[in-house]
Amino acid sequence: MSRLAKIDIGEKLVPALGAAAALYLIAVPIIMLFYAAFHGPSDYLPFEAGSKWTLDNIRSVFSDPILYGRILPDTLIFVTGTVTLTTFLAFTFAWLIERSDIAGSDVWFSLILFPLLVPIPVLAIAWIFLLGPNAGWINLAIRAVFGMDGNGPLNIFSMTGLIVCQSLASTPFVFLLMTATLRSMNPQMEEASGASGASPLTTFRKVTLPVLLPGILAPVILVTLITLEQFELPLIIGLPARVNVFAYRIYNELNPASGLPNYGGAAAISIPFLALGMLALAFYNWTIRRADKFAIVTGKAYRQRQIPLGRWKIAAYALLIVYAGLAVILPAFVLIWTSVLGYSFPSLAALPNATLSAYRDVMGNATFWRAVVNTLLVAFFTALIATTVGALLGWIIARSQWWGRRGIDFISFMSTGIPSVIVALAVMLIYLSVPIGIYGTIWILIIAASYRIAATTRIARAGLLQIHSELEEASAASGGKWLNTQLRIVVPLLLPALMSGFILIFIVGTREFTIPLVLHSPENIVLPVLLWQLFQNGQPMPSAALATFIMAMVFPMIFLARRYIAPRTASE
Amino acid sequence: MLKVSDLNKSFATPEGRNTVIKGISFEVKEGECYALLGPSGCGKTTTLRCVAGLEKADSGVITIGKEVVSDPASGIFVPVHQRPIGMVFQSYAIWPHLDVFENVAYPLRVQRPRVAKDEITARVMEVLKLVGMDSLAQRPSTRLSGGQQQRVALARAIVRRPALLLLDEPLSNLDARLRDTMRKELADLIARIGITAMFVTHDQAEAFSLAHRIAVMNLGHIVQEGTPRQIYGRPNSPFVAFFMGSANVLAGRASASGREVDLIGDNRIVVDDVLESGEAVSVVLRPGQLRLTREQPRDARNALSGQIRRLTFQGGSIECDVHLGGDLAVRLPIPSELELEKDMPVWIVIDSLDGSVFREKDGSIKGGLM
Repeated sequence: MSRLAKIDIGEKLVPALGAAAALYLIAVPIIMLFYAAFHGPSDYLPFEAGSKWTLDNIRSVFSDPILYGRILPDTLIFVTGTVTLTTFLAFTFAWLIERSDIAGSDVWFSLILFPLLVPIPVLAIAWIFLLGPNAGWINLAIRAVFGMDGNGPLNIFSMTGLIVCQSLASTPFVFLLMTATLRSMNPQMEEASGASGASPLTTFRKVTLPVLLPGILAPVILVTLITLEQFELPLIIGLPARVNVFAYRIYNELNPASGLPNYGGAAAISIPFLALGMLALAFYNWTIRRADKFAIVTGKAYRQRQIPLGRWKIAAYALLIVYAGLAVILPAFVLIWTSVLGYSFPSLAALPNATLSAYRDVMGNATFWRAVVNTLLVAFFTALIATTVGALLGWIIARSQWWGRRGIDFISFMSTGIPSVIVALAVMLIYLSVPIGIYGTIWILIIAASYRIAATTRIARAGLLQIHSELEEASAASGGKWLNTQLRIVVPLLLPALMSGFILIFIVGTREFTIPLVLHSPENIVLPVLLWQLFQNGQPMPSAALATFIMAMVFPMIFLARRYIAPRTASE
Repeated sequence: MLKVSDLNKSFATPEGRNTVIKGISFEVKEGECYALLGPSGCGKTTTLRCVAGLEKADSGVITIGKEVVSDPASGIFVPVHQRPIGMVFQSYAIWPHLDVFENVAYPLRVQRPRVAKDEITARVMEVLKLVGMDSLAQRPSTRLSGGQQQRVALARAIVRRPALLLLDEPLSNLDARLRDTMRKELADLIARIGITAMFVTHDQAEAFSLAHRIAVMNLGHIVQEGTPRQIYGRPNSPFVAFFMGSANVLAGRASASGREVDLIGDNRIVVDDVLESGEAVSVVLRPGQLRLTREQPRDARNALSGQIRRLTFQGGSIECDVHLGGDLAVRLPIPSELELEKDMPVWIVIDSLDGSVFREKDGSIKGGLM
């Protein structure tokens, strides 16, 4: 036996594989993007014969007056409007549910969470059915009540309509983070203000808000980032409204109305977009650090004092009902109704004509079943990869002394700031250039979507930090090798955390629309893309049937989400 | 100064109403430091929070100074911010967005009519000096140690010169060594500013060193009130005696004559009072009442025979466990010079039985007043 210290191969190799995977999933696409942006001619793939270094793409993109006249202002208005409305709704709901004496807070919590689970095209189609200027139910109802003629009065196909719809869709996520912020506040902070002689209003102004501010600001920046990368609603609602935001513009370069795909142009316009995302991300990081510093007693959820609403109660219920109505109940109802009775204003007289023929048509189609299987496979494998890689990165960051672990942390964190449309573009460029036979299969979707490892890394790291390292050392002292220790001690203890990360990414995976649309082929179709195709072909009944099916499929996930995800955001 | 009479408070829980304060009354005199001492869940913190106005009592009258601040029967409830109090919280509740100076200045800044800027500066610096934090006035409060947070919390509580200072487990968040130092500092400070103070603790050493008078609480009642000396020397129930520190409890029955307590085995204890024949009796003995000898003492009134079960060396002394038969045992410290061995037969001499014998009606160790 050698007396030299023997290196445990597993300890080096397994996490190294995780780091390599992270680089492959995140860094390679970004490098590819920059490479493509500086290669031309623009309809050539970056590694195609005849392609060479050039500044043409950059020049043509940035000298385009549409960029300054339309895309930048539209993006700015869209993001500002959505972030403002979302923040208002999310904070109000979080405060009502966590701090006020509102009844049925559990039911409201589930209702508010629901849009988080449904793929956005489902909601978009429902909102078009409800708010379309001609035959939208709400418009028909308003016109009937006030005796108006013509179109409207509400028009979903407008900047306002887009902002309202996006806010309805974004609220649940921000709401979830804000409830966690509110719960983490030590109520003694407020009591100490009262005991100092400050009135409740002064306390709210001088203590509650300033103490919570970093914790509120962080989700606001995050939603800014998410709004910036939104593609679904800008495509489905924004396009007819002639709203032209960044994300849609990239897609448009790849799928021009006429001519060849403009790879170089798409890559070039991605760069400022990406830079903006990174900027927001840096700001987010800064606020998170500040929020951490503010939580003097950290990681603890407090039982909060409930504040009586008094005469504000009616307004609170009204707001909750309007939100639940527009984001959950009416969309579900209009889709179910349309799926069995066609797109018509609801009336009792129509009921006897109900038919399941649309469901038979949809389910009789082989494409439908392929889409169901693809959706589940993509969600499952994406979640598996993101959780595994995230766990390994979490281990490197929390436990190892590796050189470059800060870089790994940074790369994982950066994935939050990369818009999915850019990842889709970069992955497209890679696998068109490197033909290894996955282009057009579900595997390209899985590889593209698995870049979202920021959340799983953070969850795993937080979980690991709660597992005392002595538990691992005790296993080593009992003669366990690294891999044995990990599999027998760490993984079982980390399982609840890994589980919540897995479910989170699985849910995100079932909602995935942007990546599958950009990388779409007949073989790798997923449900949200199929739904969008049906809807575009002008088939309201089958699209409603498919949308209803998707809703029914994701509905059980609300229980998983409440059980595994909501408490975890609360503890972080 | 502070008068609490017949205070009651219950909370709604999923299992029904949980009554945590059951009609307690006490009075704190001007300039006095008063402690509520008891195990967790005894209702001491809830009592303090009712006095502060952070909880609404179900019934009972609370008077601070001359003002009735809480009397549900007459519909009186003065909210916390209108009561003349200062409070130190268990977590200290130092606001992270304000620096040390601004944390302490806060009670003056929210005071109406406004306090002049110069006066605020002067008064804040004065109390910061008092707690030894004047050199750290500009430090961000997120960079304070536990002891420093405690000082800032205290300065904040006294800066507006409240009539009554309330402290909720003021030392429990500090580590043992710091707790000793801070306990002495706190005692000095309270004495120096001569403020009326009431505090809550589960640590008898803390209550003994800080309070002029102590109320021992258990299960929502005050079971005994008195000076530290009275409570330690003459506990009125086995609960208080046991809670006061490392006491040995011997359970037995009164003999036929009622003048002795029969323990398991041959041991018996001769008592001063006349007991009812056959009644259950607890004898609670502090180590200071006991002596250990190797030979049977001739003239001792009470001596129990036993066998050494365990010797634990503790530096200056040895902790000795003596088995008296059945499940009876006593633990006492002995000088480390004594040459003893395990299983050696020994005698335990009880010099004084003063206040050690409790009859069934005095309650059990856990039960307090039943």
